[in-house]
Amino acid sequence: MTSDYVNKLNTAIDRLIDSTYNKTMDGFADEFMEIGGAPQLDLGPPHKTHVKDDSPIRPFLRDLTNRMFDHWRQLPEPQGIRDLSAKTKTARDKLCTTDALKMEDAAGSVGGGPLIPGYMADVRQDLSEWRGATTSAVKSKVVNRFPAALFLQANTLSVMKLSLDAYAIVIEQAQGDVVDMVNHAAEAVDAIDCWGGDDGKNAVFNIFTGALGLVGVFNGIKTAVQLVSAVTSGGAGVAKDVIKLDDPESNPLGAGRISGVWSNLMQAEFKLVKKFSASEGHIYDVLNSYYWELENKINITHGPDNSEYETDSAANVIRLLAPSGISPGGVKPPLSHTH
Amino acid sequence: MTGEMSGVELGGELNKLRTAARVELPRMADEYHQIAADLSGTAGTTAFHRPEDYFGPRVVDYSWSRLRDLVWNASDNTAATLVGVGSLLGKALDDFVAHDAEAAQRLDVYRNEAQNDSTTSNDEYTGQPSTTNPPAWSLPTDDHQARPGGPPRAS
Repeated sequence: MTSDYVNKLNTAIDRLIDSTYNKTMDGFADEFMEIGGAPQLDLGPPHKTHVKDDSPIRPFLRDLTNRMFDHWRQLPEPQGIRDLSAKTKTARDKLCTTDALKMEDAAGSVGGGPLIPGYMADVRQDLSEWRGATTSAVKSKVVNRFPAALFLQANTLSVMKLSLDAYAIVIEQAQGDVVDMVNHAAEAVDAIDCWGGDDGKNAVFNIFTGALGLVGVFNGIKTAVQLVSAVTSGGAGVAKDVIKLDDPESNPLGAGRISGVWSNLMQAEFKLVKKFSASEGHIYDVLNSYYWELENKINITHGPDNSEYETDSAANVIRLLAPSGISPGGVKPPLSHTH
Repeated sequence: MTGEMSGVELGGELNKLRTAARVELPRMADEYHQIAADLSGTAGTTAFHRPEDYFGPRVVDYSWSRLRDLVWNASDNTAATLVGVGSLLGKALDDFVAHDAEAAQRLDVYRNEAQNDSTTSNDEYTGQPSTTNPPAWSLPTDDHQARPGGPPRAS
């Protein structure tokens, strides 16, 4: 099924082709033939502007636009990305139903929706009086480490979800920008002075404008908190304070000629590819930085008053590794209260 | 001076040990198995696909999937740890029951109260893990002991 976005893009492309064809037939065939790779048309009187055979015009424009925009038709579907986000949230919600951005928040979610934290709190209670080397190892390596593992697991899933949500927004903005860009180009062709004069040739139609909506959503964002801010605040889901717009090209070269509009369109399309890739790069930076953060050592506090702590890499803690060398014989009964 | 619990007094603590070993830890493991299943459902997705000739390598796909694999692997490891610890504590429980008839009798009382019947076919009391698809209970102490089926740990 063709997406709504692809339909809009195809409609805009059809409109651009129609505009270019009409303007070419209206006496601007020389400008059409200046488009890179355009076929040379056989012109006749009056004034050598009449196109004797219009058959090469549309096929050329169709082929050109296919080469320029086929890859834009193949952008990821935002809904597909949001489906992944929903699956990630489903997994995350089994651990913690809030964005566990602080370790104490995750550990403190006992009694909330998810079952896992409550179970481990019960395990802690049920084993509290049992003794022996095995019991001590289980308490130390599993029970006491669990809040840190839970935090890291939940937080990682939160970062993954937020990144997907942001990526969906980036894609939607790119889609909007591509469609706007092509529509602007069609408007620019339509507005070309029908007398071919210089006045107004650098008219208001700056097709670069369409490319400016796509910006680095993640510029400057280094933490999950900033990530949340970036995707939830501001117009169109973009945080204004982390966006730095490129200056628009105020006077696009040759925007008053058919060939100039097409040249600008090609440049704008190239620029848009770069911007989309850069936005993807920002999301990559967030995810990659987070991944390597997990190589860092973290402190795990335990003991009755959190006075004791041990240090291990987050990549180890997140996996809740079992203690080694333990056996059933290392489980000793509690001390009697009655003797 | 106090000695180790035994007899009726131990029966109460055995019930706690039983609950941890055969109820809480397996149920936690079940939850982690479900998390792993949730994440496995995102493997092999084509949602990120777009022409690499124009937009470059799929860096979001790569970096996101790497984190997904890490949490998936962590979920599998955590589940295996919980199942393994539960099994080990369950074996310890069986040893105490076998060697202390009075404590075992007291544990039966708790069982009957909890179940409101006296059948011995209940999973929690026969020591059968409640997981529907339990892994072989080996304790994963490093990457090489991760359960089969999970993703490789990205290096």
